[in-house]
Amino acid sequence: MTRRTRSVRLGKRFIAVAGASALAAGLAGGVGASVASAKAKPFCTSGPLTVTVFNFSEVPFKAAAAGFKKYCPSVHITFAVQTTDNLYPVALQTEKLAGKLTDIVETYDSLSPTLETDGLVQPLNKYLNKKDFYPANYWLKGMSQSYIPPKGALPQKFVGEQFFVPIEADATVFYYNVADLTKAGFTVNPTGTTSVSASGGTISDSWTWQQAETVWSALTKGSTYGVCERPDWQAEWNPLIKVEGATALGEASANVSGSAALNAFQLLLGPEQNGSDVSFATLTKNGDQCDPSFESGQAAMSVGVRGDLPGIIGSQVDPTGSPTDIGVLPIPEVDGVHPTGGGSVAWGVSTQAHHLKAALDFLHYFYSPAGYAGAEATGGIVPAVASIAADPTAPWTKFAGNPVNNAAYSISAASVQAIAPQTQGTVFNDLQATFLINMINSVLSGTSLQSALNTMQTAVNSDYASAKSGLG
Amino acid sequence: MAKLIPEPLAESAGAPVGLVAQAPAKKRGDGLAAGFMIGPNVTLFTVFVVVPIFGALALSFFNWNLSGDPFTTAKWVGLSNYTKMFSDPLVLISVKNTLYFVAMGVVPTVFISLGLAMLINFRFPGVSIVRSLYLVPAAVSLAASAVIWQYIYEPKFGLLSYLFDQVGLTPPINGFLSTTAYALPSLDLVCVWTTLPIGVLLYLAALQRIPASVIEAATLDGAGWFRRVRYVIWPGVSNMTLLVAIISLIAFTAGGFDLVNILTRGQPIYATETLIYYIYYTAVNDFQWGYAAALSVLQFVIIVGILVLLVAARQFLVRRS
Repeated sequence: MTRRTRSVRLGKRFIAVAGASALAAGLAGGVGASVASAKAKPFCTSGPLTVTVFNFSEVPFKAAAAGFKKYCPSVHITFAVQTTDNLYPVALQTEKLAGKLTDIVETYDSLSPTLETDGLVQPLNKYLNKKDFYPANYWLKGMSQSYIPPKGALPQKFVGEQFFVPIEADATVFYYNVADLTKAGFTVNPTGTTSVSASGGTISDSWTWQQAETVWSALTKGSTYGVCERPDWQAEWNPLIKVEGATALGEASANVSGSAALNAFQLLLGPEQNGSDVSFATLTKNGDQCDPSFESGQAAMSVGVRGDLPGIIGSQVDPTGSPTDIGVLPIPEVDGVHPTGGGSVAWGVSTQAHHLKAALDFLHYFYSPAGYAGAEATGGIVPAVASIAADPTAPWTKFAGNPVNNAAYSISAASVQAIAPQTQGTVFNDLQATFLINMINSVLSGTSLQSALNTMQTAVNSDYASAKSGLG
Repeated sequence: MAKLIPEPLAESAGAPVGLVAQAPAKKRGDGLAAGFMIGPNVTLFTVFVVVPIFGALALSFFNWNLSGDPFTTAKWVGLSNYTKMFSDPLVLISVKNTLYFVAMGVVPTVFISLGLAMLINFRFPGVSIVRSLYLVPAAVSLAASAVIWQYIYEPKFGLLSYLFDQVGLTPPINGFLSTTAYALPSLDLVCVWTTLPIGVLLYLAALQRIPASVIEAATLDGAGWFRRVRYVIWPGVSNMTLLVAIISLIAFTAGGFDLVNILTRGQPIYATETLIYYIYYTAVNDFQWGYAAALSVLQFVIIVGILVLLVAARQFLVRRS
């Protein structure tokens, strides 16, 4: 062997040994560090996370995100704020085409089918029920339903897949003005027995619709109406028709003129016909919202959701933000059931989520009691997680501005009867809301209820047919 | 002066039949000349290949977001970037997609290349034109090819949807590139199309080195077309098969990026999320250069692993035959 060959071999050996040593040292040091960090932070990765959030959700989101930032500082969250107008899906589509969809996307119930069929969000079933996430029944069933296309929905492959997880339980309740009720001789005893007449009485959580009509009539005085109801399928009409035994706006067909619908509409239109309800003409001016009527003192009682609470605090009915000025009751029972409507906003994971682990980690944190705490403290949130919503010690139940009988929100959240149906085109839309208003106006101008319902049925059928042909 | 060596020896040495020049004796100064000639190449190779390889390996132990001097701003994280891969669901998805993309691309490329090369390994009028046409996909840039195929895959007016209709099949409603089951095979088809020319060229060269006399002898011995391919042509091009497979492998692992980036961006729902695209996204979009470097190391290991398997498979087949 020549001297030169030996030196080359020695050189090679030296390089190999040096390289291996450096690599081993590096790996050993890194293993220690990474193992330590992995043990300390489950559900915490590193890197960026992008979120699209609605403007009205920005405050609770920021509160939750701040908590996540403390828990998992290695994830850097950036978010874009969007409004819920018709341009929202267009904006998301544009982002999708550019390959820039954020990892997490917010929606609201009736918008979700559009985002699903547009390919903007991915099914979550493969993440739910896994040991590193939550089971599907972790959330309130009534709220999750909004995001699971049922049998009959199109496209068929989406049926049974859950695309979003609800953030909040916006279940309907009746807000009441404590002073107005007291003046009319009524007291609220949530767990007692309801006994009411035109001169007053006791109202409990299990009050009935007939008893409610008595209360509303008694509360109607001067320029103040007894109640404000919304001509809104999701908030009131769907759940009441369902309790009467039919599905008003189903996935494949509508039933808005049968006996169940007739019974329901008789109950719903009663207050309007006897003059104890804020007129639909006023509501139309208010964008079909009851909050302005209640907040201005025009109505002594009004249908609303938890999300209305921050607006009500500081309004005329509750100018000082005093928790004793306003109260809340569940929707009155019909045949022993609260015909509660519901809806929510929700998080979904986009089809282009490149930070999937970070997205799932954030959602895992957000839906934990600690994660929710920040959002709950903002007052507009009843958590959509069953255990937290029912927990009397949860932060949302301790909110300083909570109304009298705050627990009624929990009753409502657990008793949601109908939510936005999950087939594109069959959710209540502007056109179907117009049918409803036309029907009500027709009845108020003297047409028989059955005849008006038949006319509405024809119009809704036509809407269904065009929605289906549009999908085909 | 060149010396004559017998033709059989020339063949066995892999040299062209005929006159073969023996290697002349080494002279003084040859080393210097060789160094002068290969020096620039080695330098460039070192600067642009070797250094980046070791640089990427080193970077994979750091977190660096491209801002500032890497020697002062990069943060040592040890194996964190590697352990992170185990909890990152997109790594598994992209590795699976990459393996599928490579397997479904390399194998057809090898066999179709050989088939096409055999088709044009004859003298016929216009053979030069036909052979030139085979090179068209390689002459077109990958980006341009992607755009052309985008039109072919277009859901309503695309050629492929039309062909599906003509043979009574239902094309996917959302289009081939937007349907989970079709997206990756569709990209494979494009990549096969663009990789074929180099395979055909290499196989054509290998086929032309098989002596016609050997094929004639096999024919005279009663070997049919299949037997001639199986026992004469296939062994005769086995070296080239390995080369074509390696080149295709590299083309499919690296070249897949252009197609994914232009046609699908990893969509629909990660169906075309290949490792190289995920590396690109992590580095260029997220500025996680350390993590991207770790992913690159993973890709390197995968490619080397496949190459080792290919070589082992070839050696096994050679020994067996």
